[in-house]
Amino acid sequence: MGTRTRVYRGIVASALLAVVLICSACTREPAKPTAQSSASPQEVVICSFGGSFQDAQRKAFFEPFERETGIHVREESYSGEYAKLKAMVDSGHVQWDVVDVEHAVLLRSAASNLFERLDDLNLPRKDILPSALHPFGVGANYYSTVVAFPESGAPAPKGWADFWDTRAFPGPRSLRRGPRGNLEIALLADGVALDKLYPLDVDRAFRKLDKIKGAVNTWWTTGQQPVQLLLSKDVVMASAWNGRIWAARQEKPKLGLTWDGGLLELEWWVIPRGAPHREAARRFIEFTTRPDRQRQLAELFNVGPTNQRAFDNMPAELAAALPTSPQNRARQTELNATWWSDQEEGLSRRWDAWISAK
Amino acid sequence: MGRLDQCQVTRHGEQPSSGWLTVYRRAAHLVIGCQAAFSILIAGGITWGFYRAGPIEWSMLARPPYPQALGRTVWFSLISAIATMTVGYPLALAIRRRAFLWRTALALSFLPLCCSPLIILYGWLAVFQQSGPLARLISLVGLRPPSWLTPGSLAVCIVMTYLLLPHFVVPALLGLFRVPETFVIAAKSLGATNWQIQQRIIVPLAGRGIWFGLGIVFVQGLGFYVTPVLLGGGKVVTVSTLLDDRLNYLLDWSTAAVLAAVLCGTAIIALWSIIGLSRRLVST
Repeated sequence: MGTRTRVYRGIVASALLAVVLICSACTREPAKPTAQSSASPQEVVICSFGGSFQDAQRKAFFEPFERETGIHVREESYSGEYAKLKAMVDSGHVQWDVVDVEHAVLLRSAASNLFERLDDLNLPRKDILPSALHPFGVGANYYSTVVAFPESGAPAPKGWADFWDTRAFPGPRSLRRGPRGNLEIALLADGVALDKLYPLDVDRAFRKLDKIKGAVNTWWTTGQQPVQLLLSKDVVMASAWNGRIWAARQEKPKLGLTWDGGLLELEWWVIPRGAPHREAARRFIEFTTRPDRQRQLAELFNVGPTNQRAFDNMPAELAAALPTSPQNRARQTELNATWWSDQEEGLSRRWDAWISAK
Repeated sequence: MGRLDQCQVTRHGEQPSSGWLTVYRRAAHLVIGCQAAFSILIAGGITWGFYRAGPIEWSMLARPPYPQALGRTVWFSLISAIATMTVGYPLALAIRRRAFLWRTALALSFLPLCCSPLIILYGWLAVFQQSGPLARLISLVGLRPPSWLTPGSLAVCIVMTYLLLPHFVVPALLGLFRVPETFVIAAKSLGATNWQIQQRIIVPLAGRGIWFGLGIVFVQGLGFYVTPVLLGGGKVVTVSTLLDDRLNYLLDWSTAAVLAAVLCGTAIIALWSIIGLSRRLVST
């Protein structure tokens, strides 16, 4: 009996402590944003995906922006924890002014009013590819999901049809986890033309995926995984992001890719609703659409400019290596993010059931 | 709880230092309370209005991936709990008896705690590859590396067992140390075999520790996330992976809330039934 009372007393004590802590958090709540915004008006907090990609963004965007405007850029990085972003906006404690997000998240969050409207920004709209403009975001750069393989003397795969050809190219493969992009890849392998993909024939895509399921060693989750699997020769080919393959260009064995059937996707600059340094953030986003800045980013990291003027006077060798150069764009197609934003939830449930079925 | 405590005390003839016991218990509650409060603080003062973002649909739990994923989560936990016991009990026994190689057993069972789990996982990721050290060793002997040496369900279960091993060994050891050595010596002098000593003395007296270890391992296994993601090769769908997709990528927090509640409920039911079972099986 005695121990039980003591246990209850302990629970009550800790609950009381929790309540006190929560109350102190709540009373601090309104003071926080004003203190932040008045402390340093000449500052902008930018959050991107980190690593060597953010190093390139620093040289192409952050440092020149600081030099030109005198606005200090404070950097943050994340690996796509969008729950954190949503929590910031929903709770009114926004710490980031500009965020680099995936297309799916832009569309999903725009519907729930998570970001500021950006359609009144001063942008060179006629030079920017039309798909890179959205009321709530500005396209940051294009990347592509392509067939990648280790280069050896043997003939290289020429597209997704060869990816399915386990007789001519025996060995395990790797694809991304989840339905997004994989359904397109399956349909392209099944002979659907690049411009006839949407709306996707989902049943046909899953039937085609059935045929490759047994040959897939890993359904990758991080962009670095397919590169590692290719370098260690655990797989003979993989779907991969062009930037990652390019970043591994010094490694042995040398990795190759084909642009045929590549799926172009966009990353976006957005401003979370209630960002403390909104004006500076808007100026920064305008700054990133300049052709010379985008060209420098493309020199430093293998991503495609959204502003087509970036290709003016560009060395032919560099243009040939970029996903959005006119010659490469014709061999690829853009993933229709709008179609996906309606379908992804249901399809991801179907995918999870499909992947665990024997 | 109190009844069982007294029962144990009289059986062992030990005097418990009840003052310290209370302090420990209270400290545990304090830690749990503080953790909850701090997680709210760090997240930036989340308000409860959050969770009313969308209508909660409990009926969706019956639709395809969810029941299967829950079943798989429980199944993996159960398998790794049983495997942990199978490996951990002999290790704990060896450590208690200071048997031959007991220090090796000690080191083996506590190795998973010595390093960050993420680094351990990357190590195992190398093992479960056809180009990995184990596969190379097998092909060096002249055999073909087996096909299960790839990321998948088996890899997840093996690595879960490895990571959870110390969490079984510690409570099992605590149980085993409560078995008076005099009982064992007395039984031996009366001609009991090793098996009889195990069956009649050690297991009944150390039973609570073993059950407790099983419970801890099982409940922890339910929440494993990084292991199924990294070692499952994208083929293993558990409640935690579904939860992360909904929380971080699909931004469907109402479904995530339902899944979290289900996972939490499963853990509570599992703990209750394990405590209930241990009372029924051990105290009689």
